[in-house]
Amino acid sequence: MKRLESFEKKHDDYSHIKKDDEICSCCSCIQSEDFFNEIEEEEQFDLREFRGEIRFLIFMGVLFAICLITEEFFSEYVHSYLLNAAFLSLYLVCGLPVLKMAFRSLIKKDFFNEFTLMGGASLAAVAIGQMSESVGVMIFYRLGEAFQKKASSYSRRSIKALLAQKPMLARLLKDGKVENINPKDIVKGDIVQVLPGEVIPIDGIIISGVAQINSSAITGESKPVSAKVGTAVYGGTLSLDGLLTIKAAGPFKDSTISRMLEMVQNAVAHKSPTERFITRFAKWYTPAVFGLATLVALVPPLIGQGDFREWFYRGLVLLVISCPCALVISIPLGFFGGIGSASKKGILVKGANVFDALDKVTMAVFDKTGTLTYGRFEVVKILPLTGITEGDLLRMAATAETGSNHPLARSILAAAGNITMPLNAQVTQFAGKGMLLKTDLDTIIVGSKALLQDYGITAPSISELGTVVHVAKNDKYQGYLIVADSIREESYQSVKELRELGIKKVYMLTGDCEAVAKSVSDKLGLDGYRSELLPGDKVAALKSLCGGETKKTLFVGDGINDGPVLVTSETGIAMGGFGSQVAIEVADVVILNDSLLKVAELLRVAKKTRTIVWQNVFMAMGVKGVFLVFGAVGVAGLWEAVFADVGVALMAILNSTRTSKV
Amino acid sequence: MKKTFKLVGLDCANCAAKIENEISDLPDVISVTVNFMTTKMNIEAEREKMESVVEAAMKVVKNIEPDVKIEKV
Repeated sequence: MKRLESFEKKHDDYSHIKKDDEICSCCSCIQSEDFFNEIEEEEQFDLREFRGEIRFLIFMGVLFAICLITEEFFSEYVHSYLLNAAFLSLYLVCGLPVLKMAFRSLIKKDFFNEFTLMGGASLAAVAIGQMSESVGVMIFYRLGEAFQKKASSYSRRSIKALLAQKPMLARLLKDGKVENINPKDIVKGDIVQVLPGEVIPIDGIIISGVAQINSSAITGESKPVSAKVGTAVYGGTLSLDGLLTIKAAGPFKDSTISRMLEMVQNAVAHKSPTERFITRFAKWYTPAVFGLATLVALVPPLIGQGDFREWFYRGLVLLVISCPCALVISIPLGFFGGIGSASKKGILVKGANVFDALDKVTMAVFDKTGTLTYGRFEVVKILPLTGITEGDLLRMAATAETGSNHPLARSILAAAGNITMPLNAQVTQFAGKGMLLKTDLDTIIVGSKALLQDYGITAPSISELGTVVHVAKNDKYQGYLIVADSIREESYQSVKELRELGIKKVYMLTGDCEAVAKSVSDKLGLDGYRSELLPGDKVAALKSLCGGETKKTLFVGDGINDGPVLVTSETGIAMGGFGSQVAIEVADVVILNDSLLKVAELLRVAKKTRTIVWQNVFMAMGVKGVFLVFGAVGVAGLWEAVFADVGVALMAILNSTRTSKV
Repeated sequence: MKKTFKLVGLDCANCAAKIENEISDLPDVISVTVNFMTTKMNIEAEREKMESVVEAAMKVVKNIEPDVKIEKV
């Protein structure tokens, strides 16, 4: 009975949602907001339109084939007027929309577009009696257009799919009751319940429960991470097993997933120089070929080289080839695929211009703390005197630090694990020096050499990187710990991969002291660094490191106090963009998870994307060039021309879909 | 200030480029991008001039692609 109730309840949940939003097929998410809705609707529409168009064209194709066969084999039985009338009516039915558009643009004095070119060429073909050719041109032209449309809508959909896992409902806990609401209605501080297997609706902190969280939809990281009370979780991620209660960190529009959507939507607003180049090229390409076509049609007959109709026909062939759309469409499609591919890996690219800019990059500058290193203190070494175990020394130190909130103390406590303050303990904190803990039995002093000295204990001078924490118990020196910010495991690999990908110099900027900077730089084998920088000095340091050539640098930082540097460098990459609003605003690229390896990944995607885009450009230009020559010398007819035009566009489109599979 | 519009039914890459070119030649337009893939148009202009710029831009769109519907985002 209970099960039935919960089943019904579940159904209620969905019906509640269905009122204002549509549930997508995977049923754990919804396409609620503008971008997705728009695309969804458009797609439905596109698909219907596409199917209709294809059916129509197949029907026309069959009729056309019948006419062709008749013309070929049974022409003695059918009057040629009748056959021509059939071709003409087919032509009109197929070509009317194109002719209409062509007429409209002529009125507006726009002479060079696909409609005027196709319409004009086919109409002229009719005029010189090439009936079957003009019908063929129309049918193939429209077929190609339909597939182009379909391909762009497919490409849009692939971007959408990547961010499809949007939370569709939030279970608001209020006065002990669960209320199902739209995630958009959540306000800061709301308590939300998430059932196992559900999408977490909002960014927030877990206040009860444990679960494995899969954030692959957002960061591209497929390994689930475990989350417990106090862990920050993000809207759009999936709770795999546990029941969680989450306190919302803010309204939905400020949540990570919402901001990501916004960023991807705006991503393509920045066009790449390649794209601009092609549109400029298309601007003069079409009139130029039109001029050429006119010359081919008029000059040879005028100087007495052959039949006017023959040359006129060749001119028409050139006209069909002069259509610029294949060229123009292949570029944004390629870049769009690249942006999608990067997003799938948890790399948000703000615009296609980034891909072009990365081509010129030869220098990489990293921020140290939080980027090359983890940005948190860790106990890296424990050196007890003989007779004391490492564990004992660590526990001793940790016991004394229980009362402190200092990052150093926190790191020692974290390393020691479960340590509680002993009963009846008296704690004294010496700012900047250390701690003293007194119980009925023991007195423990933890801190700098100077602090121990104050209590008459001699500690050795240690010259090691990081912060040295000495430990003394009952006036006896026990040993020391080294606490330091450690280098990320993947930093080594990342630097190596960048070098393989053509980055010649790798530098580092840090606010940290010289000794630490040098150590990190040496370990990673960097080409140079600038240390002891104040946040305001970083821009100048970046400029001096790269010799003023900021156009050739990419900068990787955590985005928190790197804003100006992210802007100064040609490509600013912010790591761990999950938390930081600033990063999203100023960076060109945001890496959503914390993996430094994504920088190399981004370079690879950029390279592949550029390759494909240029392949498209050369292919389109090459094919058109060849057919221009073939057309002019009379080898290629209208059939071949239209195949060349439509075919090359389709090839470019197919090639572009490869970018999304990098 | 910047404004974004959606051009519903924009399905020709070259037309997108043409619209962008013509709008960028309009007076008072600081910047404009017409994106074929997202079918979005971003226009930047001074706040006081925005209204007249948008009006002129709409005319350009209608002129080049009469079937495109312009929606505010």
